[in-house]
Amino acid sequence: MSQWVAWRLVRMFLVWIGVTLVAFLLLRLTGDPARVVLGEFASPAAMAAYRAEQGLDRPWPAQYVSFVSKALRGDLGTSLRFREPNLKVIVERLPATLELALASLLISALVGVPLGVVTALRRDSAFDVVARGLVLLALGIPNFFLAILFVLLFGVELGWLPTGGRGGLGHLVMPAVVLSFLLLPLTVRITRSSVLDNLSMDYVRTARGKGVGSRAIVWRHVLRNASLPVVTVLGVQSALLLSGAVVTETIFSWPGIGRLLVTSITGRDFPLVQSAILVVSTGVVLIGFFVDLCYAALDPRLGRSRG
Amino acid sequence: MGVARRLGSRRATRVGLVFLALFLALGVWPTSWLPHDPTEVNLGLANRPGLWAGNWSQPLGTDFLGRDLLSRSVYAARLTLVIGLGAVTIATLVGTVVGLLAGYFAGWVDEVLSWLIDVQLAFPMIALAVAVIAVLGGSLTSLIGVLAATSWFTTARVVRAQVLAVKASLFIEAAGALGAGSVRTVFRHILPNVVSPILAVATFEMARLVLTESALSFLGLGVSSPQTTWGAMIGDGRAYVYESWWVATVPGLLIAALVIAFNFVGDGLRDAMDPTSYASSGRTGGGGLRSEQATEP
Repeated sequence: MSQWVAWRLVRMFLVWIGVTLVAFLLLRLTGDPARVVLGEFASPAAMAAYRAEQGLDRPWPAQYVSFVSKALRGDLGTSLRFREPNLKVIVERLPATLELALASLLISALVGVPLGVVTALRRDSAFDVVARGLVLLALGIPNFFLAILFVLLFGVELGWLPTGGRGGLGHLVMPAVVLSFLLLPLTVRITRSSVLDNLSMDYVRTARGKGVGSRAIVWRHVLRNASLPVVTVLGVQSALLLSGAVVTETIFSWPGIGRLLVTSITGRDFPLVQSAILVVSTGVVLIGFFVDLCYAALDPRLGRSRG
Repeated sequence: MGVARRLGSRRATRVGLVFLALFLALGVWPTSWLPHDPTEVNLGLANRPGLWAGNWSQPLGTDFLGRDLLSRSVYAARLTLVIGLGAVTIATLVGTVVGLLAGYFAGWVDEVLSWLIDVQLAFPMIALAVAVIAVLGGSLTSLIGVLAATSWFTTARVVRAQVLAVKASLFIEAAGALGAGSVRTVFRHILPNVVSPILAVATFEMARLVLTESALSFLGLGVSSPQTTWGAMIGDGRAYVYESWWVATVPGLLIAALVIAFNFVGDGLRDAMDPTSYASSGRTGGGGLRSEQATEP
């Protein structure tokens, strides 16, 4: 087991190295980071000064090594717009993004899992058909379009909820519900098919044969076994919430990392963009590692076989 | 093969296919039959409602520049489909080759390619796509390239898993014993056996990429005027949504219809290929090819 954990750690580090490579290359896609950062109309003198200051005149491998070693020490450079360390600017917005992501994860789980279970147990009933139709609709409607409709209906027409910004629970409702629509269809589908798969397993027949009531079979056996894939998928897909937050945060003026990314791009603050992407991806890599650990702890067979 | 017949036996799949055919026809057909020029500005007609307000001249209303929404929607269908199909084609080709290589050669090739996939999965794709387009500048090519980059690994993973399964079969061993080389084995014997899952994944990915493209266009990082897509049209309508809800709603519903149609066809393809699934009852299984990837905004 400890060997397996060590191997996962090595893999995690290797993936993180890849992440830093992509973040490093992002500014160099066009070949000249000074032009990307300073814009088309920067004077040659300003560009030369920026290159010297950032060490851009050194060979790429040397630049990359210093980029990574600085990142490991928490030095992600300075934001052009805020004139503050990038890491500080990002960390200040982290709570807002996490709050939104957790709230929508909670909604996805609290609505999606029961919906998946009930549609599986009452397969092909009217409820199943209607629920699956709605899930499909939720899958098809562009998230930002949904957000616009919500703002129009609940914010403007009915005036129930604030249309943007972060504050109390009222501010959280609309963005969290909109963001949860990303994971909700997946949650329902995975739960439903997982419960269906388990219902057709031999152990269910055995339990029935032993005279266990159907309620007890569902609660004690099926749901417990069906939960594993659901937990994994939700864990892995949390990256999706961070990604979806880019659009949702922009529409609802939610002061998180997603909106920071968009405003930084519009403001051509590329060092901040690079750092934000690096921080979020590092978070995703860490989450993936912990999901793996939880999985191994829940299902001891996996710890050995997955190498 | 009974796949085609089984595919047609499901109502949802047939509905999906009809819708796709309709959308494709709209995209391919010349736009000369349209009642209005899709790019013609007429400020006097700005933000007019359509049929529901008795406006027969512009049945779906007009946008903030007085452009006819019906003509515009049809006009935008072409680029919406071109971008989606272009990206999904590139992604499928790259993903198939990578998956074949990783699955067939195993060892360090597999390790390196799997590492690449893991790295890519770590990124919040929309954020990365937004940043890449901002650095490279928005154009049709960079949009298609970025979308393909957010998609190839889904195909690669499925193909890799399929290859691992097929590789263990006896007929592959037999091919090797008869002297077939690696290249021949991969392309003549393994590839034909993984084509169906590739098609199903491509269909689901197409749905996802249409949504991603619309999100990018909505954020203003898509194609630039006068070119337009449904996503860009929603972006156009956003500022006027309080006075004229239809400007954003028409393209919004079109995107939803297209995405749902692709999902219907993808579900049908998957079930038609997999005899163990409940084809007749239309089980919406998440367990199959779709399980790993959710739909981005």
